[in-house]
Amino acid sequence: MPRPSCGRVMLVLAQLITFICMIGTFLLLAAALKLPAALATAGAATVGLAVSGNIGSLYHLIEGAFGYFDVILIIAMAMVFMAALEAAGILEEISYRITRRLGDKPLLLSLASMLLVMLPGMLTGSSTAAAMTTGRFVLPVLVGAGIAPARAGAFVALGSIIGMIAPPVNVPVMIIGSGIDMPYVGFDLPLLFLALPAAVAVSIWAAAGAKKDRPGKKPGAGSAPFVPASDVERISGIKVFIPILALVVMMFAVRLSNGSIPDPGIPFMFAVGALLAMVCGRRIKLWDTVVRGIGMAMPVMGVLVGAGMFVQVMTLTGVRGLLVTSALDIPRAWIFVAAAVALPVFGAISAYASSSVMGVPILLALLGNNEIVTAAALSMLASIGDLLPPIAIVPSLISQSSGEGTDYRSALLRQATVPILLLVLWAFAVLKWAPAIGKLL
Amino acid sequence: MTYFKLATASWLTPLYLLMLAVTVVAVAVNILREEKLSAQIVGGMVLIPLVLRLLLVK
Repeated sequence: MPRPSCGRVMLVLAQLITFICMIGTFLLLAAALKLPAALATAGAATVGLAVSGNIGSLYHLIEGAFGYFDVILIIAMAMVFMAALEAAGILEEISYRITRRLGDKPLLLSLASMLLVMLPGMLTGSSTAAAMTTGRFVLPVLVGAGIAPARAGAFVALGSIIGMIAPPVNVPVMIIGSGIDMPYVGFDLPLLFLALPAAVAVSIWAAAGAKKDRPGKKPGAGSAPFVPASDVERISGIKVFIPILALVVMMFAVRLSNGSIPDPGIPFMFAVGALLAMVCGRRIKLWDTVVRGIGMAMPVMGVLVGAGMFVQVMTLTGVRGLLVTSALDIPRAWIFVAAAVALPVFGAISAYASSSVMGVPILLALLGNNEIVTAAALSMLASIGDLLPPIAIVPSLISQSSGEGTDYRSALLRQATVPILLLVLWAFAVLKWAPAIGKLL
Repeated sequence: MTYFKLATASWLTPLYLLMLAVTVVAVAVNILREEKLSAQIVGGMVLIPLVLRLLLVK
């Protein structure tokens, strides 16, 4: 067996030192100094440039900032759409109708609530969007239906993550796909296969909790603390569904037309949906809504800019190649285990960064394992990181918006522990049997 | 003149540039309203690719 040359060993050592410095800086900034994940990734990229002796090539940071530009624009417009739905009272109206119709049927209520929580995540690919919009409306509805606050919070957190994974928009898959030049095509069924059973299982878990938490009390009967809009503020008829329906029709029409309808792009569809929301709901201030939507999107857009810089520097310094070759050297059976552990753990800092840094090498190591189903499963593992400490971004947001106090986040995380483990197992199973699942779909 | 040619390359390009311009202004407004320095820096980071693409520099 030929021995590696001294130069080769030195090169690998230099790449390893660069990688350790980048990860160390990232952890220091994100976990110890509690800086936003966007700054942590950008800071780690800058340190990587310095350590590798490329500090003069700062233009690589600008180059990297464009890495996820398409996704940034999708998230910006999707958040404007969600802000328009919220400001126009459409989300509130849909929540009210669900409560009124299904308040005394816990299973149906939790299934409908799950769909409502998932919707923003499905449309924006961001779990924080779901937690910050429909999650806020659904939480009191569930508590009113007899579900303990911690379990209701866990339900919203899990629903936000499942929505992030579900089609039509899954940002982690887009990030992983862009790493190996795989277009975002053909992912709808695999993502649905991953998300649907998880959504149903979590809904059943929540509904079972409703019966257990308040024995003898008819769940939801007249106890919902959710305050419905007054009659003056109510939106009548099917008008309330028009913006969401229009968006779904546009998305499906383009996909099913086989090119006969020109594809205007997802950001354009969201922009049209936002304009429709402004017409179909209560009168709103257009510019204020746009500013609010972009304000909600800014942390996520920042993470994507930072992740782009991080990946650019990793590519420039050869660290990315080192990760890929190292991943290829791991015995195949262990790659699945490594994916199930590394992606959620790294995702605890940022699901998007985890998709990019860990997802791409693991997908490359699993080439031939049905890449589409594999990428979908990897996206689920990375997304689960949004639920995990130290940052636990989604539980933290739910805790903040519920106003239940500091212990609420810990209680929520304790409730969500078993479902999170089951979600990881589910993603692991799909990853392991991706070729067979790919044939089924 | 070159900018105008590029900006009207297809029927969608001006629409996307308009969306981009709105986003750039909205990000700038959010930066000015934001009180935390770290959030302002994040906003500045986000502005870099948006402005460069709006100017069709890259």
